[in-house]
Amino acid sequence: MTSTIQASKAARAGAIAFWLIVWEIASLLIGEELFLPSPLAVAARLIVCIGDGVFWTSILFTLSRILIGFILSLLASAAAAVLSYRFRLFSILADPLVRIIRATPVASIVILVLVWVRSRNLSVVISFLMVFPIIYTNILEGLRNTDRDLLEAAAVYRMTAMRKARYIYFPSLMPFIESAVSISLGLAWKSGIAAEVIGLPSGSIGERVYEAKIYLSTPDLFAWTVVIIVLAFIFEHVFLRFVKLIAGRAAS
Amino acid sequence: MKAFIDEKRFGEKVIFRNAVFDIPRNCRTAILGPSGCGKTTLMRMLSGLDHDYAGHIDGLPELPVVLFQEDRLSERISVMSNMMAVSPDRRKAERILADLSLGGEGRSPVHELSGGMKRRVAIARILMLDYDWLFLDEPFRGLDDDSKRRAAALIGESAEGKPLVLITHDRDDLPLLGVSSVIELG
Repeated sequence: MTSTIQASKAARAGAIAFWLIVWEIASLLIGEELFLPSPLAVAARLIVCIGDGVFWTSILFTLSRILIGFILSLLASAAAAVLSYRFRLFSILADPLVRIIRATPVASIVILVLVWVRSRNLSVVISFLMVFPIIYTNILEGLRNTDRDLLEAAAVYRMTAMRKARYIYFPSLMPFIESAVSISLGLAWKSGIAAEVIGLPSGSIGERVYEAKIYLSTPDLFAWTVVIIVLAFIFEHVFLRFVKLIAGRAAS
Repeated sequence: MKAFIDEKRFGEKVIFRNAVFDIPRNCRTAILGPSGCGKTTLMRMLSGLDHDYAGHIDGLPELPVVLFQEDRLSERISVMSNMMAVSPDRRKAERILADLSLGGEGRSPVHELSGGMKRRVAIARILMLDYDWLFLDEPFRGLDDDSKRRAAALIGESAEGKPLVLITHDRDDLPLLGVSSVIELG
């Protein structure tokens, strides 16, 4: 088992190394940093950025807003899913709204939202809106898939609503929640930063990315992209671990 | 309890027509018959779970507890959590689990247990509850003889002085639960 995991990790590291080499070769062949900087140039730029206070404040600015938007969306969509499950009318009313949010391009929503809110809070609203349909749909699906036999037994055994929620609904929802969180975390990052690039809130990662673009500083653009990928990865892993921890607590 | 069933059907298939069932309160009753003869359907009507029939039942239980044919356990959570789901009395749960040789399994997730162990957890769970009538649908399915005897003794103790209805196709289950009244179907 351990050797399989180690082999899998080695294979993944090998694949990353392979693509870094391809990138390096492509960069050498093009020979122009403006079009494609080398991995080493990006790494060097990243090290310079890390030493700059603005780097950390930009990360804090964006991370906090995306996280707030995500958590608010998680709570609101879970509540809406429960209401849709309990009340058919609510489900009928929510359905077109959820479909519209899901189908509307991020750029359209960003421009519309900019009319209503200050750009500082843009990524909160955008990550909220992008995550909402995914978590809502998954939780509602999970609720509707809860074992009917188990619910009948719960009624016969006179389980309280709280006990039913904890011991029947929550365990049954966990795979749906994990899947929804995994998908929507990446989306929250992508859409949140895309919104910042359009709305340019002062002090955000989006603003740094935009500046890199207008000053034609391609290594900066790549460096910030690397930062975004790493942050999204950490964000997803930490949050999923947190969700699994809660699930483990509920199961024991 | 007396059930007057004018008709009970599933689609085109008639299960009971003009049937009367008398279930005494003061003794333990078994409903016997081959698979598909309507034993579980009758049990569901008698316990108040199924109201979709023509007729009426006098003396329906107010506080029935049913051990279903399926285990109906929450598979993703532990054995103890399944017990806590019906009653917060952890000591009682530990005692019942120990009595059913499941003392070391409290923290085990249900999905990791064998079929026989799951059945014992399902039995342990109903023993946590108060009831005025106890309905047992094939309670010893998948249990070995020793587990069967142990579970029967605990159920008998719990149902002391209370009416009990056993649904089974196996006559050997009757003496284990002290059944003295039998309804044969099919």
